[in-house]
Formats: sequence, structure tokens, C-alpha cells
Amino acid sequence: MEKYETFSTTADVGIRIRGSGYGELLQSAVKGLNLLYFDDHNLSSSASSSVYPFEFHGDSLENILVNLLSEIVFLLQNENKITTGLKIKEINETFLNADLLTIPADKEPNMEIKSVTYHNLKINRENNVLSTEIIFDI
Amino acid sequence: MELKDFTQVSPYRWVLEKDKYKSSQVKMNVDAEVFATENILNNAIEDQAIQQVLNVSSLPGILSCSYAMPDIHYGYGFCIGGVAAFPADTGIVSPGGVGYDINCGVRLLSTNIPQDDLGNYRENIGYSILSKIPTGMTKKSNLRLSKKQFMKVLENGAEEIANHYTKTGVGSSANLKSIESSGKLPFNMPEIISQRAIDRGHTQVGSLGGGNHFIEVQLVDEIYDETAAAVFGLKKGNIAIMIHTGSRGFGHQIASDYIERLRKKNLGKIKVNDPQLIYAEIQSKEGQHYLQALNAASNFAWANRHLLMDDIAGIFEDTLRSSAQQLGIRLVYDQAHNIAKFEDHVIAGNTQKVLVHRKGATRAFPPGHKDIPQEYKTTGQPVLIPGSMGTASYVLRGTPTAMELSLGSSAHGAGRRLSRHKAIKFSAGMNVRENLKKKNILVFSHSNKGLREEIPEAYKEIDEIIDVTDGAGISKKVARLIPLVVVKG
Repeated sequence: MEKYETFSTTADVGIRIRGSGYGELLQSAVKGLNLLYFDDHNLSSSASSSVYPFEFHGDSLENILVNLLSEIVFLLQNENKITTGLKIKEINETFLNADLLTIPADKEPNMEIKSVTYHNLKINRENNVLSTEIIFDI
Repeated sequence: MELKDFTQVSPYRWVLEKDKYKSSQVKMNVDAEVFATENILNNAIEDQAIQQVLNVSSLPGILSCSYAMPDIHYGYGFCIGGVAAFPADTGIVSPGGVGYDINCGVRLLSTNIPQDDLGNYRENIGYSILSKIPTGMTKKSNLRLSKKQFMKVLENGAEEIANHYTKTGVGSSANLKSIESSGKLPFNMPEIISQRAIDRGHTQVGSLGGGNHFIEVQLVDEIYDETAAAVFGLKKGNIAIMIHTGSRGFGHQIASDYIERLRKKNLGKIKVNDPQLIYAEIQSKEGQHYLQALNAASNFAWANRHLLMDDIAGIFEDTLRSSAQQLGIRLVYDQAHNIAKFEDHVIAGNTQKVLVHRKGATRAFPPGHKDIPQEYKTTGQPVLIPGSMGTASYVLRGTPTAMELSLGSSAHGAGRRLSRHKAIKFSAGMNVRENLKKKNILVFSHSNKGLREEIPEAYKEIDEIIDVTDGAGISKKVARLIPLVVVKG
């Protein structure tokens, strides 16, 4: 399995992600979401980049993941910003403090994501590798 | 689970009895009942949608049955096409029984424009709708609302638009009665709406959105019930207009907010088969707050469709150089297909007030029902079931049978058959616009990829769903509408 890939359910879409730690899993989620939105996982920051601080106290890594992706969806939909990367300052299973690196959106996304769901969301741990699937309501 | 686990109680009704079916995963509190052909039921078993019907049957206090309509398919929490009721006083409410696009719904307008009079104007109308009405994800509405004005929209729904923001007269307050619940549910707790929901919503009143949302100019192609069609203002050979959209980012955020809140509140306390089925007791603070927020989002959606209707009527006025009144543009009906509402139903012989969740299901109240407009008291309410981009949509009417068999509910649409990835693969090398043009359908969209995801082949046969709906008697066919112009988000 790649670190991130997209998939479809009958009515919706999702990303399959993995990483060797909490931080890498979340980085994969950002890239997977960009693949879904723009068919492009290698969007990078530029001179016009801006930074959005994101701090979240949750109850689990699943909870952090849903809220992080929800923030990225919000930034695109409302601020017209594409999140290109994540600069993690502090992370554990229930807390994330990071900067979201964004660039102005100069293209229309492939789809409108309404929400990030908890549907069947469970982060699996095997041989120190974390992996999961997240489904988006579109 | 297999087909043989179900009892076929009539040609289109299948029951999974709680006392006979033993599941290791779910303890059913009521039977599960599906309106389907054998083909539809087999598909629903295969795609796990039936498992979701069973999950709902295990919710506490569920009354009657866990129902699934003929367009059943896999969703989150409830399946799409899921219907369930809970006691208003002691029952529960679940955001997963409504969905993220709160009060996603359909509005139908009739006209007295004969197809021939539309003629060469079709192209202009399609381009005008696409250029003037915001479609897609990041497009903001043409209407600029202050926060105070936006909160009034949440409070008053379509009425606020009718009173302050319409131009053509089609959207006048006299027509509000032709909207389910008159386009307004009680909302008086602005403090429970998150700032993020306001941020996402206040620029979107009067926008279509993306995905399967659409505006269609249609032809009334076939009439099955002359009397009802005449009452609905539908005449064979005339043009109709259909709008399909919902509460946009506002409703999506409300749903996310409350799934998150209920999840946190109940962490480790409530065990559900699917985290998306998290719920609150209706009478609890959380339950009351969600219901208020749900009403606000429902009001947003009705306001949204009301403003879009007025904008489209304006485009017809400008293009055909006649007033909306001269063109006979009339609001037939507007109905929600993702909502939870308090209604009276007969449960085990007794009438009681219940909270009915309909997720991808429409209300189908019969002639004489107190909650339908006076003008439809003899016919039953219009039931609007859109098809896919290249196929027919149907208008049906509500029936007493729906009250007896399905909590006054019916199907809501075609339902997807192919995932978006499969649709893209299927349509490789296909020119979707040209293919539809050969069928006399003009398609307008900013996204070619979006069109390929929405090809007609990606959806189930609407005719089979209508046959089941009509055959089971939960709504009866009135008219068939075929698309002439399609504008996709």
C-alpha cells in the first residue's frame, strides 16, 4: 500500500493512509486529501504561502484526524486556501499543535466535500505502522 | 445475510423479523422492512445497506419498523432511503438519521410554456443559469448578507427570502404554503449555532453546490393521473423546472458539530454499531440543541431553494422577454429528503407524536392530511423523485397506504449504482455532453470530470424504483418529466 491513495464507495469517496508514526500518518492524510481534491499530491508552498495555526485537544488519534481534515476542508471552502503541508510542533494520541501551510487556491477542486466522517474509522497499528481509511461525505 | 432470511409479505415488501433472524452483531428491537424488487434487495444485501437497516433497528425506543425505501443504498449511520420513528417524549434523535446535507431536497416549478416555445432559447437558458447562479464548491452567493440578516434567514427560512430578497413574484409569500412545513421550522436559539457554521453558510444562500445537485429544465412527457396533474399544474408538452440542493456548508457544519458533540458527550457511555449512529435523548439538552440546529439548517435550505427559484424565474423572464406571471411559472411543491420532524402517526393502533427521521426519503402524506396545503387536500401531497442526469424524473402523490406501511414516506431518487471511480473508468473516452445532446439533452457544467462521475449509467434504473414505489402503493404516479437542459454543480 502507498502512503496515501484514494478510493470510492458507492456514493462517496475516501483516502487510505499510512505512516510510521502519528506525524507521518497525518502528513499522509494531507497529501491524500490533495490527491482527492486536485489529482495532485505534490502541491508545495510558494512565496504567497500563509500559515494557519491548528491546535486541537481530542480524545483519540481518530478524533484528531477528523478535526484536522475538517479544518483543511474549511480552509479551502471558506478561505480559498489549499493546505500543502503540515509543520507539527507537538503531537500525541490526544493532542496536536501544528501549522497548516497553505497557498491560495487557483483551481477548482474535483469535488465538494461536505464533511469528514467517522464511518468505520479505526486506526490500525501493525509493526509500528499506523494505517486507516477515512470516508468523506460528498 | 441472504434473501431467504426475508419474508416477502407482498410483491414489493420484504420483512426481516426480529424474532426469527439471529445476528451476532445486532440485537434488533423491531423488524426491518424493505420496499424492493428481488433485484434491489439483493443489491442492498450485497452493498451492506441492509446491515445499516438492522443497525437502526437496534436503536433504543425505535417504533414500528426500521424501514428502507426502494432507492436504498449504503450511507453512514442510516442507509440512504432509511426511515425510522421514535417517541417524541421518551425517544432519541440521531444526526446519522438525517445526514450531513440537512434538508437536501427538491423543488418543482410548473409553467405554461409549451416545449416548442422554448425552442432555441434552451442554450441561452442553460448558459445563463450556469453563469448567473453560483455552482460548485468554492463559489459564493450573489447575495451578501450581514450576520444579522443571515440569522433572520435561519429564523424565518423561505419567508425571509420571500419578504426581502425576491424580484419576480414567483417567490412571493403567497406561495410559501407550497413548501413542506411552509419553508420554516421553529428556531429561536441562535446561541447554539457555531461560528464556523455561520462562516460556512452566510455567503452561500442562493448557491447550488456540487455533486449530484442540479437545476433542470424538463418536459412534462407523460401524465398518469390527469386529475392530480391538473391540480399540480402539470400539462403534457409544457416545461417544468426542478431544483435539487440543500443547506450547503451551513448544514454540513451543523451535522459535523453535533456528531462531534454527541460523540464526546457519550464517549464510553453509549454503544452503537456504527459511530455515525450516535444519538441524544430528544428531551435532553443536547437533543433539544441538535433539533434547534437542525431546524435552522432546514430553514437555510428552504431559503436557498426559494432564492434559486426566484433567480431562475428571472432568467426565464429575461430570456423569453415575458413576466414570470405570463409564463405561468408556479411553485408546485418543495420537499425535504434529509430531515427529522415531529409528526402524528398510528403506531400499534394508537395515534402518537413521534420524531420521524428520513434520510434519503421523502414525506408522502395522503389526501386530507392536516399538514399538506389546502390545494392538495384532494390529491395528497406531491412527491418529487428525480432521476439521474439523462433519465426521467417523476411526480407522484402521497397515499393513505404510505401512512399505513411506511410512516408516510416514499423514495427520493435513483441512487448510485457505480462509485465515482467506476463511473470515471466506465466513461473513459466518452463525450458525455455529446452523448446527451444526441438524446436532446443540453448539459452545462464547469467540470467535465464532475459530469463523467454523474453519467446516467452510474445510477440505478429510476423506472424500477418508481415501479416499486407505485406498486407498493406508498405513492402513486402522476407525471413523468424528461430533462431538456441540465445544469450541474
